[in-house]
Amino acid sequence: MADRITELSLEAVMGERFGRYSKYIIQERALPDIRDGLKPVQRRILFAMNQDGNTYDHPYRKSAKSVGNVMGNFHPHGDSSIYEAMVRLSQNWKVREPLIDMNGNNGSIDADPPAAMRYTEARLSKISGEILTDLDKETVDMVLNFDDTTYEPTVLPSRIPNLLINGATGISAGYATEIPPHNLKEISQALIYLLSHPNATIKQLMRYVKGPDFPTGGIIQGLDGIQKAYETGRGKIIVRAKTIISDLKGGKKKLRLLNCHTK
Amino acid sequence: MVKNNEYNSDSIKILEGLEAVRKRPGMYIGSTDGRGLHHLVYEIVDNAVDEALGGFGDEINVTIHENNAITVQDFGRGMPVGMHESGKPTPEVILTVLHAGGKFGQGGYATSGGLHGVGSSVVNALSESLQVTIVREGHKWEEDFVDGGKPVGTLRDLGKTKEHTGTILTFKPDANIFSTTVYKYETLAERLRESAFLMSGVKFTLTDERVDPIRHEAYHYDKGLEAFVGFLNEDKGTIGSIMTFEGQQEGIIVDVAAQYNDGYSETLLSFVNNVRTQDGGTHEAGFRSAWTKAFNEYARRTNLLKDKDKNLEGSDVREGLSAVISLRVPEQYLQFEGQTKDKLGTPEARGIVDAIVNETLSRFLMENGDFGQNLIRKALRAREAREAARKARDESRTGRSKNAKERLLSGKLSPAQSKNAAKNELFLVEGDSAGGSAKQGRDRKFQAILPLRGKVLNTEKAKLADILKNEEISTLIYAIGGGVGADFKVADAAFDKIIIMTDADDDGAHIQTLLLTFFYKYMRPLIEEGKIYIALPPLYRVKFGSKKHDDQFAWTNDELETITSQTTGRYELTRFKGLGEMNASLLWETTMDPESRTLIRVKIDDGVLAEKRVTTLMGDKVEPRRNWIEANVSFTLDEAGSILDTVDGDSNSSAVFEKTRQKQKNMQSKTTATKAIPKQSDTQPKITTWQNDATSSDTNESTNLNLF
Repeated sequence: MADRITELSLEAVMGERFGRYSKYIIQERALPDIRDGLKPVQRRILFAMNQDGNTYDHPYRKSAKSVGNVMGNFHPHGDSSIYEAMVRLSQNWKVREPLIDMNGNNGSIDADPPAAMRYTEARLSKISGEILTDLDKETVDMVLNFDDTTYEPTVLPSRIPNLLINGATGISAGYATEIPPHNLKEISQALIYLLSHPNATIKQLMRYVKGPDFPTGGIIQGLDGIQKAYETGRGKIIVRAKTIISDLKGGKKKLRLLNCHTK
Repeated sequence: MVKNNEYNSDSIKILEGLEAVRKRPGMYIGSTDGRGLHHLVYEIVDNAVDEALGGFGDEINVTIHENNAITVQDFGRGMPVGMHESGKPTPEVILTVLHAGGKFGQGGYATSGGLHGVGSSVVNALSESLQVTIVREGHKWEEDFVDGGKPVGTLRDLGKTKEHTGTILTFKPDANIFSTTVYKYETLAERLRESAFLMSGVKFTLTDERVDPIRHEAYHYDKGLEAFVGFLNEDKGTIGSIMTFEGQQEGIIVDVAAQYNDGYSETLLSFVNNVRTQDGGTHEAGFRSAWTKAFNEYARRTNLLKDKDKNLEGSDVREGLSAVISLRVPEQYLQFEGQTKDKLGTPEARGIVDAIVNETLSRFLMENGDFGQNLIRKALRAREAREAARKARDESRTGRSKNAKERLLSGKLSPAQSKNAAKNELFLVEGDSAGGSAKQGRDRKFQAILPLRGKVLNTEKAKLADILKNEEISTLIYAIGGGVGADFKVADAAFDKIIIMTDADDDGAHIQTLLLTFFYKYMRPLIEEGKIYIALPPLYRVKFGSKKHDDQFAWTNDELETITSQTTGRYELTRFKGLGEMNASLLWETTMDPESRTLIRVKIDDGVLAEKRVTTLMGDKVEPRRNWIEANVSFTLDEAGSILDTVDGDSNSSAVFEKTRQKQKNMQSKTTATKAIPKQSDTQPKITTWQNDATSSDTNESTNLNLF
């Protein structure tokens, strides 16, 4: 038997292949689920660590061990991308409420790299327990993992509005998202109000949530952009730092930036 | 032994009339797959267009009925209803006799796309039923045909009517002849839109009754050609406004619309009497030479080209040009090369197009001084880039430059032993891990391996200079050895087949699109000559319980079903995810061995569609891409199947997979008590779509998920 050749047109191949890739990237890589605010890799990390009992009331465990479990059971991709996702969840200048408690050098706000995963140790933070609680009570749908050996959740039964609290960024094909983090207390109050006033307006809710709460601090300039973002999903926020200018010898000046929001 | 196999006068058979069409449909409509199916509609629409071209009727309606029958309605003069000299009613002659038509110069039509007089009779021959309704001379007439053009009764006079004259033709393609009988809305829409662009003032409508609510679109352009060029450049940044040139000589009417965009490729479409001339011909040659000439003259006059400078080449001045040429050629001059109407042969067309374009373009450039000079500067930049590319290519070929030598030594490419460019194959492999097993598994006599690390640069967005700097791409250009861009020469390529071999996962799909984009933009002749392939690793492996059977592989769901339905024994089903899962010998056996592998050859069917698809999917504008995704991607939790399945519109791959696996499990549970998965095989988890609009039809409410 010679080559089995099927002829397909470029546009058909491009369409099919790109369609498949974009479906995957939108659905299973770059964008968070609105319900638990997690991207698949993050969800898998939390789920795997929870499954292994690697929680806040247990001692730290080597990061490499957790990464290995995630990779072998749920996430058939490179180790570095899993570890990077894990480190990000632990960086308190990136996320408002870190979901992972990491011991060791987990990088810095100046974008220094974290220590390799064979050095650092990690466990779930206390608040992650709220995201994972009741998982064993048939609260969410489970699907088979990539090699059909075990089950993983399609979403976590989060009790906290993680998407609003920790925000999200993601760029996929045709779609992208950028949601700023918010204050846990403010959001909770707004939600309590919303429970008793299901038809509350954005204006009423903004009595509780004044705006985003960046973990790095900073002063937000103007409310228009925030209101527009809450109403339409698109808005602009200008953040500046508090600056102290003091005189030095020889007519020089010294600038000290406090509460600086850097990305 | 040979049986009584005589070949004498009795074995020569003359196929009579429509019988010939049914026996050999390929000769009349090209093929009996989806393309041929849609071709039937074009034949009828083209007849309506010819009618409108003569100035009769300004609306053409196409309807897809629920049973995939098609109705085409025009408001022309209606088919003649008198008795033909052959003794049959004229509509019956038109619809049942080959080479019967009004376009052989008898004066019925001044210009027409139709030449052979076979169109409507071919459609009739290939339909299981066809009905024609004619309104003419204040009367309504009707005749039915069934089973490939057999008339039911004769032409019936339905009496007087006040309706507008015209012809309504409804036909249902014969499922015995076509491999598929489902019409694609998008394909027809594309074609009707194109016709509407070329027929300014004529309204085309397309209605799809198969969906609820009924889908209806109308295409109607007052300045058709301008709109066409606007459509071609829709997703791109444009330079200047749309230029239009028109003129008439010796009865040939020439219309040209053109606009530059900020891309680097050229899109030139030509039409003769509204029929696309895919392979160009004399009119395109005339357009090209006039375009180059006018620009060079203007550049010299404005001193942007000095006396000692060389003239700009055609490809320089046409970089980023999108142009549409439409010709109306009277029947006596009309000449095509070959059977199909893909290439215009009329010698007069060359001179006439040349003269008209040259004159009007020169005037346009003089009148729009600033814009003209900008275009010249753009062309000069294109020339610089072209020369740089040529230099790079020459250097890499002779190995003169130090840089090229280093690249050669960096040795990512594992070359083939023989130098036979007519047989050698180049495998582009995703990642080093798969590259290793490909290298071990190959037949080193004629197969070369080039592993690519990570994602390839998106060449739709990047500039040529950046592309040449990119290591992955420059190794690729060097390995192929035919140059790059406008300079690319297929004859210099060192390989007969270039095979893209990526993992069968989603990132693999992305790498395929990126590589195809590169080949499309910078080595298009390779695609046109059919030298670009995609390797298809098998999707499933069926491993049998008993040692007697060898493992079997399935590429599509159909194959999987065939394999598993034939066996009664126990088997184990695995789904391949990456090339790295296979060891070298397995990879050779299933994917690389010319004797047993499956390949996809990528071809360009429709230049406009290909260009648009590439710009939409890979370009830098997000909006059109999102619209495309929303229209074409269904977000489910299904696992993607083989491209061979999905292109045919069969997307229930995971259903087949589930079914087969279910069978496998049931079989196992009969024989073995313990299983790897701690689940009863009849309680599957409920799968919902990601948006949680739960599939309520799923009845597994009692699913017990106390796993953790």
